[in-house]
Amino acid sequence: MARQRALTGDRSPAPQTTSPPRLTRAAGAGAGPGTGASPLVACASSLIFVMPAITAAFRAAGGPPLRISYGSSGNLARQMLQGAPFDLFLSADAVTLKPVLARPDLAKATSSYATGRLALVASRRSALWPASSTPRAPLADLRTALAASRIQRFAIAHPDHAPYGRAAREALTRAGLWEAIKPRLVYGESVAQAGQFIMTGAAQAGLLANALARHPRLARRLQARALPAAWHQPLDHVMVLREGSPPSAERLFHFIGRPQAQGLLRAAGFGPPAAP
Amino acid sequence: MDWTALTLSLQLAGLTVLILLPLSVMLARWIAWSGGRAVAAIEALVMLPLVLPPTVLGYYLLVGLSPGNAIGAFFATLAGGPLVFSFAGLVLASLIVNLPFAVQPMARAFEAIPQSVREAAWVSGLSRWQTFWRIEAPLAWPGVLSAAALVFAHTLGEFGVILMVGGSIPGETRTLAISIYDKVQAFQNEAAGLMAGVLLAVSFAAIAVMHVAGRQRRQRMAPVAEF
Repeated sequence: MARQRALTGDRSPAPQTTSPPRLTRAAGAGAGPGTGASPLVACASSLIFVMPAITAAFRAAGGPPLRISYGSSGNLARQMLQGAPFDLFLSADAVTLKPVLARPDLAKATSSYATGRLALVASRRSALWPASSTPRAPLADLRTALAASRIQRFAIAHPDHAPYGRAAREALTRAGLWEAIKPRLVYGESVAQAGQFIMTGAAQAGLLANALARHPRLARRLQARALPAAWHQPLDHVMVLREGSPPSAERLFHFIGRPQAQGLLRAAGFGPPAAP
Repeated sequence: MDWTALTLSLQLAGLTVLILLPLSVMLARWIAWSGGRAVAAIEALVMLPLVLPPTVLGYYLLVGLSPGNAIGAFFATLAGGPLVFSFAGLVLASLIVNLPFAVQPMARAFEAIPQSVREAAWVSGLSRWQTFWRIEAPLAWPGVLSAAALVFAHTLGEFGVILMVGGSIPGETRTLAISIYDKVQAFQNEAAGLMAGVLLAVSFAAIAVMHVAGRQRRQRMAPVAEF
Protein backbone atom coordinates (compact mmCIF):
# COMPACT_ATOMS: atom_id res chain seq x y z
CA MET A 1 0.00 0.00 0.00
CA ALA A 2 1.24 3.44 -0.79
CA ARG A 3 2.65 5.57 1.94
CA GLN A 4 0.93 8.90 2.18
CA ARG A 5 2.04 11.93 4.04
CA ALA A 6 0.44 15.32 4.38
CA LEU A 7 2.93 18.08 3.82
CA THR A 8 0.93 20.78 5.49
CA GLY A 9 1.04 19.07 8.86
CA ASP A 10 4.78 19.01 9.36
CA ARG A 11 5.42 22.57 8.27
CA SER A 12 4.89 25.74 10.21
CA PRO A 13 2.13 27.83 8.70
CA ALA A 14 4.40 30.89 8.62
CA PRO A 15 5.72 30.51 5.07
CA GLN A 16 2.21 30.32 3.73
CA THR A 17 1.03 33.50 5.35
CA THR A 18 4.13 35.53 4.53
CA SER A 19 4.52 34.39 0.94
CA PRO A 20 2.89 36.74 -1.59
CA PRO A 21 -0.50 35.63 -2.82
CA ARG A 22 -0.01 33.48 -5.89
CA LEU A 23 -2.13 34.16 -8.89
CA THR A 24 -3.22 30.61 -9.48
CA ARG A 25 -6.63 30.03 -10.85
CA ALA A 26 -8.73 27.18 -9.61
CA ALA A 27 -8.23 24.15 -11.81
CA GLY A 28 -10.94 23.79 -14.40
CA ALA A 29 -12.14 27.35 -13.91
CA GLY A 30 -9.63 28.82 -16.33
CA ALA A 31 -10.20 31.22 -19.15
CA GLY A 32 -9.03 28.71 -21.72
CA PRO A 33 -11.53 26.76 -23.77
CA GLY A 34 -12.69 23.28 -22.94
CA THR A 35 -11.18 23.03 -19.47
CA GLY A 36 -14.28 21.63 -17.80
CA ALA A 37 -14.12 20.31 -14.25
CA SER A 38 -11.62 17.50 -14.84
CA PRO A 39 -8.37 17.66 -12.87
CA LEU A 40 -5.14 18.20 -14.76
CA VAL A 41 -2.66 15.39 -14.13
CA ALA A 42 1.00 15.56 -15.10
CA CYS A 43 2.38 12.08 -15.75
CA ALA A 44 5.89 10.75 -16.25
CA SER A 45 5.96 9.27 -19.75
CA SER A 46 6.74 5.79 -18.38
CA LEU A 47 3.02 5.81 -17.43
CA ILE A 48 1.79 6.34 -21.01
CA PHE A 49 0.46 2.80 -21.37
CA VAL A 50 -0.94 2.27 -17.86
CA MET A 51 -2.72 5.61 -17.40
CA PRO A 52 -5.63 4.83 -19.76
CA ALA A 53 -6.43 1.76 -17.63
CA ILE A 54 -6.12 3.71 -14.37
CA THR A 55 -8.27 6.52 -15.80
CA ALA A 56 -10.93 4.01 -16.86
CA ALA A 57 -10.92 2.38 -13.40
CA PHE A 58 -11.12 5.79 -11.73
CA ARG A 59 -14.07 6.77 -13.88
CA ALA A 60 -15.79 3.44 -13.25
CA ALA A 61 -15.42 4.24 -9.55
CA GLY A 62 -17.33 7.48 -10.14
CA GLY A 63 -14.39 9.82 -10.76
CA PRO A 64 -14.46 12.65 -13.33
CA PRO A 65 -12.57 12.43 -16.65
CA LEU A 66 -8.91 13.42 -16.40
CA ARG A 67 -6.83 15.76 -18.48
CA ILE A 68 -3.35 14.27 -18.74
CA SER A 69 -0.09 15.88 -19.78
CA TYR A 70 2.83 13.49 -20.38
CA GLY A 71 6.51 14.36 -20.34
CA SER A 72 9.81 13.67 -18.68
CA SER A 73 9.49 14.17 -14.91
CA GLY A 74 12.18 16.84 -14.94
CA ASN A 75 10.34 18.85 -17.56
CA LEU A 76 7.01 18.50 -15.79
CA ALA A 77 8.52 19.49 -12.42
CA ARG A 78 10.07 22.57 -14.02
CA GLN A 79 6.76 23.48 -15.65
CA MET A 80 4.98 23.08 -12.30
CA LEU A 81 7.53 25.36 -10.61
CA GLN A 82 7.07 27.90 -13.40
CA GLY A 83 3.33 28.01 -12.90
CA ALA A 84 1.81 25.10 -14.83
CA PRO A 85 -1.54 24.38 -13.12
CA PHE A 86 -1.06 20.64 -12.53
CA ASP A 87 -3.42 19.33 -9.82
CA LEU A 88 -1.56 16.07 -9.40
CA PHE A 89 1.92 15.17 -10.58
CA LEU A 90 2.98 11.53 -10.97
CA SER A 91 6.76 11.64 -11.11
CA ALA A 92 9.10 8.80 -12.06
CA ASP A 93 11.48 9.46 -9.19
CA ALA A 94 11.83 11.31 -5.91
CA VAL A 95 14.95 13.37 -6.72
CA THR A 96 13.17 15.27 -9.48
CA LEU A 97 10.32 16.15 -7.15
CA LYS A 98 12.51 17.75 -4.48
CA PRO A 99 12.21 21.36 -5.70
CA VAL A 100 8.42 20.97 -5.94
CA LEU A 101 8.16 19.46 -2.46
CA ALA A 102 10.26 22.31 -1.11
CA ARG A 103 7.47 24.72 -2.01
CA PRO A 104 4.77 24.62 0.69
CA ASP A 105 2.51 26.69 -1.56
CA LEU A 106 2.64 23.92 -4.19
CA ALA A 107 2.84 20.59 -2.39
CA LYS A 108 -0.07 19.52 -0.24
CA ALA A 109 0.63 15.80 0.12
CA THR A 110 3.04 13.29 -1.31
CA SER A 111 3.16 9.53 -1.64
CA SER A 112 5.18 6.75 -3.27
CA TYR A 113 3.01 4.82 -5.72
CA ALA A 114 5.41 2.50 -7.60
CA THR A 115 9.02 1.73 -8.42
CA GLY A 116 10.47 1.59 -11.90
CA ARG A 117 12.89 -0.79 -13.55
CA LEU A 118 15.12 -0.34 -16.55
CA ALA A 119 15.05 -2.79 -19.42
CA LEU A 120 17.49 -3.33 -22.27
CA VAL A 121 15.43 -3.22 -25.44
CA ALA A 122 16.23 -4.21 -29.02
CA SER A 123 14.53 -5.69 -32.06
CA ARG A 124 13.66 -9.36 -31.76
CA ARG A 125 16.06 -10.08 -34.60
CA SER A 126 18.88 -8.11 -32.99
CA ALA A 127 22.26 -9.71 -32.50
CA LEU A 128 21.99 -8.49 -28.92
CA TRP A 129 20.04 -11.55 -27.97
CA PRO A 130 22.29 -14.60 -27.60
CA ALA A 131 21.29 -17.75 -29.43
CA SER A 132 22.31 -19.89 -26.49
CA SER A 133 19.71 -20.45 -23.82
CA THR A 134 22.10 -19.87 -20.94
CA PRO A 135 21.40 -16.38 -19.64
CA ARG A 136 24.39 -14.09 -19.30
CA ALA A 137 24.77 -10.82 -17.43
CA PRO A 138 22.21 -8.40 -18.96
CA LEU A 139 24.68 -5.99 -20.51
CA ALA A 140 27.35 -8.55 -21.48
CA ASP A 141 25.92 -9.00 -24.97
CA LEU A 142 25.70 -5.24 -25.36
CA ARG A 143 29.43 -5.05 -24.67
CA THR A 144 30.10 -7.64 -27.40
CA ALA A 145 27.78 -5.88 -29.85
CA LEU A 146 29.47 -2.55 -29.20
CA ALA A 147 32.92 -4.02 -29.70
CA ALA A 148 31.80 -5.50 -33.00
CA SER A 149 30.24 -2.15 -34.01
CA ARG A 150 26.86 -3.82 -34.50
CA ILE A 151 25.13 -0.94 -32.76
CA GLN A 152 25.20 2.43 -34.48
CA ARG A 153 22.65 4.21 -32.29
CA PHE A 154 21.67 3.44 -28.71
CA ALA A 155 18.64 5.30 -27.32
CA ILE A 156 18.15 6.48 -23.75
CA ALA A 157 16.06 9.27 -22.24
CA HIS A 158 17.83 12.56 -21.58
CA PRO A 159 19.83 11.99 -18.37
CA ASP A 160 19.59 15.67 -17.38
CA HIS A 161 15.83 15.77 -16.90
CA ALA A 162 14.39 12.27 -17.39
CA PRO A 163 14.69 9.89 -14.41
CA TYR A 164 14.99 6.80 -16.65
CA GLY A 165 17.75 8.56 -18.58
CA ARG A 166 19.62 9.28 -15.39
CA ALA A 167 19.20 5.66 -14.29
CA ALA A 168 20.37 4.47 -17.72
CA ARG A 169 23.53 6.55 -17.41
CA GLU A 170 24.15 5.10 -13.94
CA ALA A 171 23.65 1.53 -15.12
CA LEU A 172 25.88 1.98 -18.17
CA THR A 173 28.55 3.65 -16.03
CA ARG A 174 28.35 0.83 -13.51
CA ALA A 175 28.80 -1.72 -16.31
CA GLY A 176 31.84 0.22 -17.51
CA LEU A 177 30.18 0.86 -20.87
CA TRP A 178 29.45 4.59 -20.61
CA GLU A 179 32.57 5.91 -22.38
CA ALA A 180 32.32 3.28 -25.12
CA ILE A 181 28.66 3.91 -25.81
CA LYS A 182 28.65 7.70 -25.46
CA PRO A 183 29.41 8.47 -29.14
CA ARG A 184 26.50 6.22 -30.15
CA LEU A 185 23.90 7.62 -27.75
CA VAL A 186 20.75 9.35 -28.93
CA TYR A 187 18.72 11.14 -26.28
CA GLY A 188 14.94 11.09 -26.18
CA GLU A 189 13.13 14.09 -24.76
CA SER A 190 11.45 11.51 -22.50
CA VAL A 191 11.80 7.76 -22.08
CA ALA A 192 8.80 7.34 -24.39
CA GLN A 193 10.58 9.19 -27.18
CA ALA A 194 13.65 7.02 -26.65
CA GLY A 195 11.29 4.08 -27.14
CA GLN A 196 9.96 5.65 -30.32
CA PHE A 197 13.54 5.85 -31.65
CA ILE A 198 13.93 2.09 -31.19
CA MET A 199 10.47 1.28 -32.55
CA THR A 200 11.14 3.18 -35.78
CA GLY A 201 14.49 1.44 -36.15
CA ALA A 202 16.37 4.75 -35.93
CA ALA A 203 18.21 3.26 -32.96
CA GLN A 204 19.13 -0.42 -32.79
CA ALA A 205 18.79 -0.74 -29.03
CA GLY A 206 18.32 1.26 -25.86
CA LEU A 207 17.47 1.35 -22.19
CA LEU A 208 13.79 2.00 -21.52
CA ALA A 209 11.30 1.82 -18.69
CA ASN A 210 10.35 -1.81 -18.16
CA ALA A 211 6.69 -0.76 -18.15
CA LEU A 212 7.02 0.62 -21.69
CA ALA A 213 9.07 -2.28 -23.02
CA ARG A 214 6.57 -4.88 -21.80
CA HIS A 215 3.54 -3.31 -23.44
CA PRO A 216 2.27 -5.29 -26.46
CA ARG A 217 2.67 -2.27 -28.72
CA LEU A 218 6.44 -2.51 -28.24
CA ALA A 219 6.76 -6.18 -27.32
CA ARG A 220 5.33 -7.13 -30.72
CA ARG A 221 8.54 -6.04 -32.39
CA LEU A 222 11.02 -5.60 -29.58
CA GLN A 223 12.52 -7.90 -27.02
CA ALA A 224 13.37 -6.64 -23.54
CA ARG A 225 15.36 -7.81 -20.58
CA ALA A 226 15.01 -6.10 -17.22
CA LEU A 227 18.18 -4.88 -15.52
CA PRO A 228 18.88 -5.55 -11.84
CA ALA A 229 17.35 -2.73 -9.79
CA ALA A 230 20.60 -2.41 -7.84
CA TRP A 231 22.44 -1.09 -10.92
CA HIS A 232 21.09 2.43 -10.48
CA GLN A 233 19.60 4.74 -7.87
CA PRO A 234 16.05 3.55 -7.22
CA LEU A 235 13.36 4.89 -9.52
CA ASP A 236 11.02 5.62 -6.65
CA HIS A 237 7.85 6.84 -8.38
CA VAL A 238 6.41 9.56 -6.16
CA MET A 239 3.30 11.68 -6.69
CA VAL A 240 2.51 15.08 -5.30
CA LEU A 241 -0.91 16.63 -4.78
CA ARG A 242 -1.05 20.33 -5.42
CA GLU A 243 -2.08 22.77 -2.72
CA GLY A 244 -5.51 24.11 -3.65
CA SER A 245 -6.33 21.35 -6.13
CA PRO A 246 -9.98 20.29 -6.47
CA PRO A 247 -11.34 17.37 -4.37
CA SER A 248 -11.39 15.15 -7.48
CA ALA A 249 -7.59 15.38 -7.67
CA GLU A 250 -7.26 14.36 -4.04
CA ARG A 251 -9.63 11.51 -4.76
CA LEU A 252 -7.39 10.31 -7.59
CA PHE A 253 -4.35 10.71 -5.32
CA HIS A 254 -5.90 8.24 -2.86
CA PHE A 255 -7.27 6.02 -5.64
CA ILE A 256 -3.77 5.42 -7.03
CA GLY A 257 -2.67 4.12 -3.65
CA ARG A 258 -5.51 1.58 -3.43
CA PRO A 259 -5.28 -2.10 -4.47
CA GLN A 260 -7.14 -1.73 -7.77
CA ALA A 261 -4.81 0.92 -9.25
CA GLN A 262 -1.81 -0.72 -7.61
CA GLY A 263 -2.77 -3.99 -9.33
CA LEU A 264 -2.88 -2.22 -12.71
CA LEU A 265 0.54 -0.69 -12.07
CA ARG A 266 1.99 -4.06 -11.08
CA ALA A 267 0.46 -5.73 -14.14
CA ALA A 268 2.03 -3.05 -16.31
CA GLY A 269 5.51 -3.87 -15.03
CA PHE A 270 6.00 -1.51 -12.11
CA GLY A 271 7.30 -2.64 -8.74
CA PRO A 272 5.56 -1.99 -5.40
CA PRO A 273 6.01 1.48 -3.87
CA ALA A 274 9.16 2.03 -1.84
CA ALA A 275 8.84 1.44 1.91
CA PRO A 276 8.73 4.64 3.96
CA MET B 1 -7.89 12.38 -34.09
CA ASP B 2 -7.57 14.81 -31.19
CA TRP B 3 -10.65 17.00 -31.71
CA THR B 4 -9.93 19.11 -28.61
CA ALA B 5 -6.53 19.95 -30.03
CA LEU B 6 -7.97 20.76 -33.46
CA THR B 7 -10.59 23.07 -31.90
CA LEU B 8 -7.93 24.72 -29.77
CA SER B 9 -5.65 25.25 -32.77
CA LEU B 10 -8.49 26.77 -34.80
CA GLN B 11 -9.41 29.07 -31.89
CA LEU B 12 -5.80 30.14 -31.47
CA ALA B 13 -5.35 30.77 -35.19
CA GLY B 14 -8.66 32.62 -35.46
CA LEU B 15 -7.97 34.84 -32.46
CA THR B 16 -4.46 35.59 -33.67
CA VAL B 17 -5.78 36.70 -37.07
CA LEU B 18 -8.57 38.78 -35.49
CA ILE B 19 -6.26 40.63 -33.10
CA LEU B 20 -3.21 40.88 -35.31
CA LEU B 21 -4.82 42.04 -38.55
CA PRO B 22 -6.10 45.50 -37.46
CA LEU B 23 -2.85 46.21 -35.58
CA SER B 24 -0.79 45.12 -38.56
CA VAL B 25 -2.81 47.22 -41.02
CA MET B 26 -1.92 50.33 -39.02
CA LEU B 27 1.70 49.27 -38.65
CA ALA B 28 2.01 48.28 -42.32
CA ARG B 29 0.61 51.62 -43.54
CA TRP B 30 3.00 53.48 -41.30
CA ILE B 31 5.95 51.41 -42.52
CA ALA B 32 4.87 51.76 -46.15
CA TRP B 33 4.42 55.51 -46.18
CA SER B 34 6.93 56.91 -43.71
CA GLY B 35 10.67 57.05 -44.08
CA GLY B 36 13.62 57.47 -41.82
CA ARG B 37 15.70 55.49 -39.42
CA ALA B 38 12.91 54.93 -36.93
CA VAL B 39 10.84 53.13 -39.55
CA ALA B 40 13.80 51.00 -40.61
CA ALA B 41 14.44 50.07 -36.99
CA ILE B 42 10.81 49.20 -36.31
CA GLU B 43 10.60 47.16 -39.51
CA ALA B 44 13.72 45.26 -38.47
CA LEU B 45 12.17 44.63 -35.06
CA VAL B 46 8.96 43.39 -36.68
CA MET B 47 10.97 41.00 -38.86
CA LEU B 48 12.96 39.63 -35.92
CA PRO B 49 10.64 36.71 -35.02
CA LEU B 50 11.13 35.42 -38.59
CA VAL B 51 14.82 34.70 -38.05
CA LEU B 52 14.92 34.09 -34.30
CA PRO B 53 15.00 30.43 -33.33
CA PRO B 54 11.66 29.56 -31.69
CA THR B 55 13.58 28.40 -28.63
CA VAL B 56 15.09 31.87 -28.16
CA LEU B 57 11.67 33.47 -28.31
CA GLY B 58 10.26 30.69 -26.16
CA TYR B 59 12.96 31.20 -23.58
CA TYR B 60 12.35 34.95 -23.31
CA LEU B 61 8.60 34.46 -23.11
CA LEU B 62 8.95 31.71 -20.50
CA VAL B 63 11.25 33.81 -18.33
CA GLY B 64 9.45 37.07 -19.03
CA LEU B 65 5.93 35.83 -18.46
CA SER B 66 6.58 33.76 -15.34
CA PRO B 67 4.53 35.11 -12.44
CA GLY B 68 7.78 35.42 -10.49
CA ASN B 69 8.88 38.66 -12.15
CA ALA B 70 7.37 42.11 -12.60
CA ILE B 71 6.28 41.84 -16.26
CA GLY B 72 4.82 38.40 -15.74
CA ALA B 73 3.00 39.51 -12.59
CA PHE B 74 1.57 42.53 -14.42
CA PHE B 75 0.24 40.39 -17.25
CA ALA B 76 -1.03 37.85 -14.73
CA THR B 77 -3.16 40.52 -13.04
CA LEU B 78 -4.37 41.62 -16.46
CA ALA B 79 -5.28 38.11 -17.62
CA GLY B 80 -6.46 36.83 -14.24
CA GLY B 81 -3.80 34.12 -14.00
CA PRO B 82 -0.23 33.35 -14.96
CA LEU B 83 0.32 33.56 -18.71
CA VAL B 84 2.79 30.70 -18.98
CA PHE B 85 1.06 27.36 -19.60
CA SER B 86 -2.23 29.08 -20.38
CA PHE B 87 -4.25 29.75 -23.54
CA ALA B 88 -3.90 33.52 -23.04
CA GLY B 89 -0.13 33.06 -23.00
CA LEU B 90 -0.28 31.15 -26.27
CA VAL B 91 -2.27 33.97 -27.87
CA LEU B 92 0.34 36.51 -26.78
CA ALA B 93 3.20 34.30 -28.02
CA SER B 94 1.35 33.71 -31.27
CA LEU B 95 0.85 37.47 -31.82
CA ILE B 96 4.58 38.10 -31.46
CA VAL B 97 5.65 35.14 -33.60
CA ASN B 98 3.25 36.08 -36.41
CA LEU B 99 4.00 39.80 -36.53
CA PRO B 100 6.29 39.54 -39.59
CA PHE B 101 3.85 37.25 -41.42
CA ALA B 102 1.08 39.81 -40.96
CA VAL B 103 2.97 43.06 -41.48
CA GLN B 104 5.23 42.07 -44.37
CA PRO B 105 2.62 41.25 -47.08
CA MET B 106 0.48 44.21 -46.04
CA ALA B 107 3.36 46.67 -46.05
CA ARG B 108 4.20 45.57 -49.62
CA ALA B 109 0.54 45.95 -50.62
CA PHE B 110 0.24 49.48 -49.21
CA GLU B 111 3.61 50.45 -50.66
CA ALA B 112 2.32 49.60 -54.12
CA ILE B 113 -0.41 52.24 -53.88
CA PRO B 114 1.06 55.37 -55.48
CA GLN B 115 1.05 58.52 -53.37
CA SER B 116 -0.63 60.31 -56.29
CA VAL B 117 -3.69 58.06 -55.99
CA ARG B 118 -4.18 58.99 -52.35
CA GLU B 119 -3.57 62.67 -53.13
CA ALA B 120 -6.19 62.48 -55.88
CA ALA B 121 -8.64 61.09 -53.33
CA TRP B 122 -7.91 63.93 -50.89
CA VAL B 123 -8.27 66.53 -53.63
CA SER B 124 -11.61 64.98 -54.51
CA GLY B 125 -12.75 65.82 -51.01
CA LEU B 126 -12.43 62.42 -49.33
CA SER B 127 -11.38 62.43 -45.70
CA ARG B 128 -8.43 60.28 -44.61
CA TRP B 129 -10.86 57.72 -43.21
CA GLN B 130 -12.88 57.64 -46.45
CA THR B 131 -9.66 57.38 -48.44
CA PHE B 132 -8.69 54.36 -46.37
CA TRP B 133 -12.01 52.57 -46.83
CA ARG B 134 -12.78 53.50 -50.45
CA ILE B 135 -9.34 53.67 -52.04
CA GLU B 136 -6.63 52.01 -49.95
CA ALA B 137 -8.55 49.07 -48.53
CA PRO B 138 -9.92 47.83 -51.89
CA LEU B 139 -6.46 48.13 -53.46
CA ALA B 140 -4.57 46.53 -50.58
CA TRP B 141 -7.23 43.95 -49.79
CA PRO B 142 -5.44 41.01 -51.48
CA GLY B 143 -2.36 41.79 -49.38
CA VAL B 144 -4.48 41.69 -46.23
CA LEU B 145 -6.01 38.39 -47.33
CA SER B 146 -2.54 36.96 -47.98
CA ALA B 147 -1.43 38.04 -44.53
CA ALA B 148 -4.52 36.50 -42.92
CA ALA B 149 -4.02 33.16 -44.69
CA LEU B 150 -0.34 33.11 -43.83
CA VAL B 151 -0.91 33.98 -40.16
CA PHE B 152 -3.70 31.43 -39.85
CA ALA B 153 -1.66 28.59 -41.36
CA HIS B 154 1.49 29.57 -39.52
CA THR B 155 -0.32 29.64 -36.17
CA LEU B 156 -1.72 26.15 -36.77
CA GLY B 157 1.82 24.97 -37.46
CA GLU B 158 3.60 26.81 -34.64
CA PHE B 159 5.46 24.32 -32.48
CA GLY B 160 8.68 25.37 -30.78
CA VAL B 161 7.42 28.40 -28.90
CA ILE B 162 4.24 26.62 -27.80
CA LEU B 163 6.24 23.62 -26.63
CA MET B 164 8.28 25.92 -24.40
CA VAL B 165 5.65 28.30 -22.99
CA GLY B 166 2.58 26.09 -23.29
CA GLY B 167 3.53 22.68 -22.04
CA SER B 168 0.94 20.23 -23.30
CA ILE B 169 -2.25 20.78 -21.32
CA PRO B 170 -5.33 19.24 -22.97
CA GLY B 171 -7.90 21.88 -23.91
CA GLU B 172 -5.62 24.69 -22.78
CA THR B 173 -2.25 24.56 -24.57
CA ARG B 174 -2.16 21.25 -26.44
CA THR B 175 -2.52 22.44 -30.02
CA LEU B 176 -2.72 20.13 -33.02
CA ALA B 177 1.00 20.41 -33.73
CA ILE B 178 1.84 19.55 -30.10
CA SER B 179 -0.69 16.72 -30.11
CA ILE B 180 1.05 15.16 -33.12
CA TYR B 181 4.32 15.24 -31.18
CA ASP B 182 2.61 13.68 -28.13
CA LYS B 183 0.93 10.95 -30.17
CA VAL B 184 4.25 9.95 -31.74
CA GLN B 185 5.79 9.77 -28.27
CA ALA B 186 2.85 7.66 -27.12
CA PHE B 187 3.47 5.21 -30.01
CA GLN B 188 0.19 6.22 -31.70
CA ASN B 189 1.50 6.78 -35.19
CA GLU B 190 -1.90 6.32 -36.88
CA ALA B 191 -3.42 9.24 -34.93
CA ALA B 192 -0.33 11.35 -35.58
CA GLY B 193 -0.53 10.57 -39.30
CA LEU B 194 -4.16 11.63 -39.52
CA MET B 195 -3.51 14.95 -37.78
CA ALA B 196 -0.40 15.57 -39.86
CA GLY B 197 -2.61 15.14 -42.93
CA VAL B 198 -5.02 17.79 -41.64
CA LEU B 199 -2.19 20.29 -41.12
CA LEU B 200 -0.78 19.48 -44.56
CA ALA B 201 -4.15 20.19 -46.19
CA VAL B 202 -4.65 23.45 -44.29
CA SER B 203 -1.15 24.65 -45.15
CA PHE B 204 -1.71 23.84 -48.82
CA ALA B 205 -5.02 25.71 -48.79
CA ALA B 206 -3.36 28.74 -47.22
CA ILE B 207 -0.73 28.86 -49.95
CA ALA B 208 -3.43 28.51 -52.60
CA VAL B 209 -5.29 31.49 -51.07
CA MET B 210 -2.09 33.52 -51.16
CA HIS B 211 -1.53 32.74 -54.83
CA VAL B 212 -5.08 33.73 -55.74
CA ALA B 213 -4.71 36.89 -53.67
CA GLY B 214 -1.45 37.72 -55.44
CA ARG B 215 -3.10 37.47 -58.84
CA GLN B 216 -6.02 39.59 -57.61
CA ARG B 217 -3.63 42.26 -56.44
CA ARG B 218 -1.87 42.49 -59.77
CA GLN B 219 -5.25 42.84 -61.52
CA ARG B 220 -6.50 45.49 -59.12
CA MET B 221 -3.30 47.47 -59.30
CA ALA B 222 -3.19 47.50 -63.12
CA PRO B 223 -5.38 50.60 -63.63
CA VAL B 224 -3.73 52.39 -60.71
CA ALA B 225 -0.29 51.86 -62.18
CA GLU B 226 -1.16 54.33 -64.97
CA PHE B 227 -1.40 57.19 -62.50
